[in-house]
Amino acid sequence: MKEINVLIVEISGVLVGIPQEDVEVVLPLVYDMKKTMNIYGSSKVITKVWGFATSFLYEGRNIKIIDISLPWNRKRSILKFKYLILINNKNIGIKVDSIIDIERFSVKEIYLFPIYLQKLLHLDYLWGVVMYKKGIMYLIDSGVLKDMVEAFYEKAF
Amino acid sequence: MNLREELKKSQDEILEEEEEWINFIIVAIKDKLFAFEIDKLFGVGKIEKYIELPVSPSYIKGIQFLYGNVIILFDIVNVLEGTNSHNNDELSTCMITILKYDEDFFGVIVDELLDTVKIAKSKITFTPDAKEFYKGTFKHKDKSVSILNIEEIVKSTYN
Repeated sequence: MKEINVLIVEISGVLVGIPQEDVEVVLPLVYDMKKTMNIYGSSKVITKVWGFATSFLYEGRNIKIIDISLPWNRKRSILKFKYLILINNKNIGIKVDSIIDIERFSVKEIYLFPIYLQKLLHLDYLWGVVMYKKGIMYLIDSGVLKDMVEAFYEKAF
Repeated sequence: MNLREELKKSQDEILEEEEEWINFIIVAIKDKLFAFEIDKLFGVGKIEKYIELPVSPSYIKGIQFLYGNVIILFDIVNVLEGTNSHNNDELSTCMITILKYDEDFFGVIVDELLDTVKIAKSKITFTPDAKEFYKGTFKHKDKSVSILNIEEIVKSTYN
């Protein structure tokens, strides 16, 4: 691997990068529809997701919706989440505030996120950081995130 | 005893008499003096543009990129005494001494790098327990200098 394409998103003011190959589809989140509308049912094509849901059915699979900003203790409105990034083969969707761009980064530009901080802050799914414009972007490993969902996020809910 | 054995015995005696020395870098954090073993020092640097993390305890001020690595800005006084050594404005004038622990680089925040010294082991008062935060103390220009045990300090933050 010499280069990596990254979908850059913003979550609670933090730039987060998801490898593009991990992204199955991006769905908009909506808050004004009823929970019972089209979002459930394996045969229907889903074009939007109810923003307050914690899971939904997508092509016969039960997708868990994750808010990775939950442990950051940031005071924010859930209504800011605008999109759901469905992760390939993982049955999880990550809620994001906005989608910024897709960029290609050389592996030389990526710094490994310190293992000490991964363990201390329960951020095992952060594997790297990269300078992006005038700030930094955290790269997440959706495989590790999925493994943490059961153990960590369900407690948070 | 033949000459060969005599020579060997004399050499061994000389070795025993020779002092063991340790090189330290002495730093000031607020009004206190601390020392790190130079052998364990990866480098020193200035605190430049650092990035605060979305979530972190008060002793982690953020991260900084230096020498191609992510440096964890570590407020050691906060771990030892529970109070911040510096506020965010003061940090811009601070230095960091960078120490490697496991695979990570810790930038211990200090006010000043004062001196490098070579101290004889016999001049150091070692703490009896190797798991203390301080390995020992020695005198430097009539002031007491505490030798920090970075490994134990970092380990304590996991608990």
